[in-house]
Amino acid sequence: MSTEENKAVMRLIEEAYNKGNLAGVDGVVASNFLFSSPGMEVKGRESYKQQIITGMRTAFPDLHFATDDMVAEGDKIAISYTMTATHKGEFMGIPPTGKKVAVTGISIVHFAGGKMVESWGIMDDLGMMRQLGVIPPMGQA
Amino acid sequence: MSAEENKAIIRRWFDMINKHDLSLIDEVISDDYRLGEFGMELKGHEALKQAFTTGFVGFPDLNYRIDDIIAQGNKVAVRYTRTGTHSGEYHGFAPKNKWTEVTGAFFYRLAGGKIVEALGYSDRLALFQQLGVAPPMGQA
Repeated sequence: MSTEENKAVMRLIEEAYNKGNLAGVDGVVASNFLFSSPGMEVKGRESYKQQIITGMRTAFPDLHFATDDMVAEGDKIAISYTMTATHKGEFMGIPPTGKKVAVTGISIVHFAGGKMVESWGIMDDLGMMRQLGVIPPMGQA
Repeated sequence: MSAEENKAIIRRWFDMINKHDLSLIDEVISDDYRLGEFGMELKGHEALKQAFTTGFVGFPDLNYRIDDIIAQGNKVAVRYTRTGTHSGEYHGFAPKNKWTEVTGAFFYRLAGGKIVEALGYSDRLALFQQLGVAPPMGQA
């Protein structure tokens, strides 16, 4: 893991997620980027920008990710974070509640050729749903 | 301990779990071990053993597969897939012989060749859906 790759991750968090400035995304994320988390998969950089970054910032305009811990090795970096945000727009079908949430999670990012090619993440979804005051309808297994 | 040695310790711990034999837990887990998971905290060997024993009873074929492992200095991050058939009592949920497959991740901190701290996440929503139960409602 080079310093450049660390900087790329920090830039994505600080600029794109925390400020909504997508100008630098293409420089650090590969066009065939794959974003996944349990039950969700988004393919391609453009879809990622629109559905994930812009989607999150529309639901949570004051979205803020703070990096709590990092582990980097080779072309991979794992990040432990705390997300704080206020629910002002529709999120996963949930109308805005105006509630503030603080949710923690872990993401693992893979690089190739200096750009992010894959990100897998898991967060405390259930805790978030509870903080929003809703629990989504559960399917029958 | 190097990052590679710490990775080997984590792999050894997963092997113990997968063999459902924690008799040598002292060799990989520190006495003052702390696990944080979704705001809950578990401390020490006995609490950890008890948590896993509950898992082994509920899921007699409980298995963790390491999907990704990343180490730097005294830290190791793991992405895993946990599988098991719910054929025993588990946290009050009646066994229905449901196959479960859940992903998750751990951040570990090691010292002197033992795990001292872990931060864990797993896809609880998927587990509840697979068990065929509604998630317990709690206070945020």
